[in-house]
Amino acid sequence: MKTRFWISDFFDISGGALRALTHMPRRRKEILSQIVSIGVESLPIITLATVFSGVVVSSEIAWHMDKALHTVSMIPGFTGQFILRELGIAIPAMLLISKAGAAITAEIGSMKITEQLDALKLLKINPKEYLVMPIWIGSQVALVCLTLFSIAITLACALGIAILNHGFTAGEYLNALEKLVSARDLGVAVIKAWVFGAVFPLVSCTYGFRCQGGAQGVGTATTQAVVTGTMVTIVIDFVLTYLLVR
Amino acid sequence: MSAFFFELGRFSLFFREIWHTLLNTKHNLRPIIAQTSEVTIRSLSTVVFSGFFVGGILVVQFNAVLAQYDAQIFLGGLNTSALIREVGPLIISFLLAGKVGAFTAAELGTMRVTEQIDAIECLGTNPIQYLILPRFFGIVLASMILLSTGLLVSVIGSMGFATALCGLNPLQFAQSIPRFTDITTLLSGFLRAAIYGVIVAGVCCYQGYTATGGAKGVGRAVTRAAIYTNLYIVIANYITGLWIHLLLGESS
Repeated sequence: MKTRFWISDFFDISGGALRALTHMPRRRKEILSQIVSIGVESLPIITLATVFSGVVVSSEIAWHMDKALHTVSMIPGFTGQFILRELGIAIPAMLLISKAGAAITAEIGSMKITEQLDALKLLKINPKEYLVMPIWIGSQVALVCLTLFSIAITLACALGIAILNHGFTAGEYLNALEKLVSARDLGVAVIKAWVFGAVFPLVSCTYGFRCQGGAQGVGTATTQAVVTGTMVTIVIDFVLTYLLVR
Repeated sequence: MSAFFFELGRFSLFFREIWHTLLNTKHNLRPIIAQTSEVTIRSLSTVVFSGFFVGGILVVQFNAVLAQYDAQIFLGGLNTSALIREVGPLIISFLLAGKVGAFTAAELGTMRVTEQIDAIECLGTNPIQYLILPRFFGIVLASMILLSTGLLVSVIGSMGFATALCGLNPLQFAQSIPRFTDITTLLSGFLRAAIYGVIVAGVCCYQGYTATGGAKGVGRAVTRAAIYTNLYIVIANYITGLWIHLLLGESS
């Protein structure tokens, strides 16, 4: 058991989550409470982070545009596209991995080392089905909603910067934005967020189920879960960007 | 919100204590070098791997935008400038916070709740000098070393991605780099990496050093360390952005 590969555990847990999908209707309450604990409780930190990053990125892009093309007239299109396609998706995903992902690993890991998972098995409940499914569904919903929310906030900040620093009016900005940004971009954002939200809880749960060796083991598992989750997200982001962005 | 300001205040006092110890005690360089090399080696593979793919993401994104204006000649310059100025320091400090910061917080927290730090104090050693200073400067120095490695890998990686995916040859990619970057760009990148490194090191040492309440408290300290580090880094990103812009705006 100890030498089982990480990847086989990962697919084992994904299979458990998929099998438990049939229980969704009668476990609605647990899913909702996971959405609250993963999504709603991350709302303040994600709002704060996206406000700051929106301001920074729109002024950075304006500076670069000015240097490259000697005009700031393309700021709306550039910032809008960058926010919708990358920034508004990556920032909430990264923050949610280090906040909610770490919490998931710590929770399942401490259940494992205090033998609560074995207790579940004695009750003939498969912990891989019982525990993972609400987290899995909850984080998908939470991350998609948080992504849409952070896109809205970041765009509002970029609009504010464009109005205050570069002399656009709100109407000009939104007109230019409309020409360059389409519903397709929003669709791509939702797909990306959905995939990230589906992958990172499984990574975190895998590390939680694999953790061993007391309180120290939980700490190690949490660290590894955050690092692996971030790296997996970056790679998936690259692949999806290549496939979906034209 | 008041909890946040409370934390910020205690964190600043902790910083003052580090500063005080730094100025008033004699130092041995060896533990700092040992910590630096340990941190660097432990995070090198992560930083290289993710630096490579972050370069790729930026290339594809910028290419999609620039292709609309037939301005693909600027791809190399924009990409390198964005990497050095913003994305590189940010990504590397996020990864450092997750990997090294959490480890440091857990290590110091365990020492605190098992009363090893009190034992050190009883033996007449200053725990801040003995435990915190080497870790603090180790993480700060390692973040600079990792930044230079990560940037090198990601610029070369994005050159490769641009050649493979966007139909530019490496020379075209490299041609526009000097147009957007110069020595001040590199300096501002390193300045940022140093500031973020100070934040990662300070927050994680502080959270570990002040952990209370058994094994559960250590877990709480680690989670708090990760959250507060990310939050402070994003805020510092805004502040340094304003400040470095003013600096560069005057010089260029």
